[in-house]
Amino acid sequence: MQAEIRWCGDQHLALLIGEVVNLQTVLRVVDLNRRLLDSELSPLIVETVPTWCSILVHFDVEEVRPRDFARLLDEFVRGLIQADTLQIASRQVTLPVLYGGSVGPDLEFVAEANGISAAEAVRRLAEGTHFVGMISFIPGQANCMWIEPDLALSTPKYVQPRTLTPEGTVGLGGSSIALYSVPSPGGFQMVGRMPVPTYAPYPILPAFEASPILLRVGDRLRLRSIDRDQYDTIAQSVREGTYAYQIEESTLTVDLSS
Amino acid sequence: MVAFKVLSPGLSTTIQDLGRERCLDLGIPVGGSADVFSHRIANAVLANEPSAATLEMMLIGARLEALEEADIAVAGADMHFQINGADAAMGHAFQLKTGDVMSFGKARRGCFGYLAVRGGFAGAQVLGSRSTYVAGRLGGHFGRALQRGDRLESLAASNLDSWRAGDELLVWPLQHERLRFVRGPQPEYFSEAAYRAFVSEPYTVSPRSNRMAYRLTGPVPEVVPMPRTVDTGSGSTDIIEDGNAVGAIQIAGGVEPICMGRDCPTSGAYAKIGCIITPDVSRMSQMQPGDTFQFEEVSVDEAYDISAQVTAVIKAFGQAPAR
Repeated sequence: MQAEIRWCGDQHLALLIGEVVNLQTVLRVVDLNRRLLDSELSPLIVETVPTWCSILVHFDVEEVRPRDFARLLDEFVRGLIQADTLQIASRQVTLPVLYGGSVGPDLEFVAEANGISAAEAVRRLAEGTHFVGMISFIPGQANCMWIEPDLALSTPKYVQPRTLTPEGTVGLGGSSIALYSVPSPGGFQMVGRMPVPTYAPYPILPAFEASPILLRVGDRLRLRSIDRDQYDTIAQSVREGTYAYQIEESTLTVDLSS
Repeated sequence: MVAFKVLSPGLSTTIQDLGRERCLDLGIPVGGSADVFSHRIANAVLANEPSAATLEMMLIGARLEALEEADIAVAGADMHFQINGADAAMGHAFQLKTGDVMSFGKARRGCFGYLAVRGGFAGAQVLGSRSTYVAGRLGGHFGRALQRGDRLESLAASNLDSWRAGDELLVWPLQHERLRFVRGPQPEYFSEAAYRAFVSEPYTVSPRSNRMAYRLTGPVPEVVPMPRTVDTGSGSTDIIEDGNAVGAIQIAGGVEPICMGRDCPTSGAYAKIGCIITPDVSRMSQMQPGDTFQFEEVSVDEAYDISAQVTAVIKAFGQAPAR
C-alpha cells in the first residue's frame, strides 16, 4: 500500500493516502486506520485522527524515538496489500431537517450556485445518501459526502467564516455536508437545521447513554425534509427526553479496486 | 476532602488536568492544562500525581475561601498570589486554615496560573479526564468556567510530603522569547525564503487568542502557488481538511499564522508551515496578548532531545528529597 509520511512536530506523523475526497479514498483511510490500530505497532500509538485523505498518528515518545517510529510506520504501510472490496459496519440513520427560511438562509445561494431551484436543491439533499467520512473539528460533528454523485451539490464556502453557527445547522461546503453539533464558528453554507442533537455531553436522550456522540464514521444518513410544525413537535419531544432516533444496523460493501 | 468557596471567579477559571486521550476521532480535543509544565510543578510540590486536577486561571485570577484546612501550591503565571492579603510565594506548599482567603490578581507575567490542592480537585471525570472543555460543555465543574458562589472539593490525599520548586522551574514556562518548531506537514506550500523570513522576524500575540488557538500578527510567509481543486478550496493555503496536532501553525487564509492550543479543533483546512515542539507549547500558552517572540526551526531529533530533557527535569523534581 502507498502512503506518504509527513512530520507534525515531535509526537505526531501524518499519513497521506490520497488527494481527492471520494468514497474509495475515505474507505482506504478507514481500513488503514483500523489495520494500524490492530497491528504490532499499536503499543507505540497513543491515538489516531482519520480524516478524508490522511491519518494523523500520535506516537508515544516514552516508547519510541520519532525517526524509529517513522521507519516502522513506513515499513508497515508498504507491507500491506489493499483488499479489492471492503465491508464495514454502516448504520442507516434518518435525521429530520427543516430546510431553507430563517434556519437555512443560504439555501437560495446554494441553489443558484448549482443552477437549480431551491425545491430541487432540497430534493437532492433529502433524497441523497450521505456517508459519514469523519467526525471532526468540534465534538461529534459528522462530515459527509453523497454516495450518489448525480445528486451531489457543490458550493463555495464563506469568504469570511461566521463567528457563530447555531447547533443543529446543516452546512454545505464544496461537496461536503457538516452537521454542526455545538454552537461554533463555521464557513459552510447554512441550508437547514435539525431539531435533534447529534452531541450530548449528558444523556438527555436514551441514544446518548453509551456515548456523547450520536454518529460514527461509516454511517449512512438520510436528511429527510420536515415542515415547521414537525420541527416544533420533534423539538418538544427532545426537550421531554422521549425522542427516539431512527437507526438501523447494517453493513456496506465497497469496491476499492477502481 | 477539602472544600473551597469561590468568592470571585476571575476572568476564566477552569478545572484542568493532563487532558483526554483517544477522543480526537470523536471531534473532542486533547484539552487539559494549557501550560502542562506548570500544572505538573504545582502538583509535584504537593507530591500529587501529575494527573491530579488543578485550577487554571487565565489572565485575571480568582478569590477563594478555604472552608476546611487545606494544603495548596501555586505555579505558572505571576498573578500576585496572596493569602489573607499578604504576599505568598509560588512553588511553595501552604497549609491553609478554615476561613483563609487566597486571592490572585491580574497576571504580571504569563497568562495561566495553576492552583494545586493536595489530592487534586474533584470534578466530573468525563471520557477519562476531569479537564473542563467549555465548548463541549463537559468535564470539570459542570463543563464550565467557575462562577461566584461555586463550591469546590478536593479528593482524598495519600501522601503528606511537600517540596519547594526553585525559581528556575517556575520561570522556565514564562521564557517564551523563542518558540521552537519542526517543519511540516505541508512544507510544499512555503518557499525557502518564506522559512527564512519566518524565523528572522518577530511575531506578536493577538488579543483574539484563547485556549483553542493563538493568533499572531507579523510578517506573512510567502505562499508557493499550488494546484487548486474543488476539494482543496480556492484560497492559497486551503487544503483538504486534515488532523490538527496541538502546536500546529496554520497559515489561515494565506495571511494569518494561528498556533493550535490544547482545545483546538481536531481538524483544520489550512496549510501548516510547522508544529511547535511539545515543551514549547507550554511556553506558547503563557504568552499574553501583545507579547512578542521569534520562531526557531529545529530538526525532529533535536525536538525529541529537548522534550526528553524537559520531561526529565520535571520527573527529577518530583523525586527530590523533601524539605
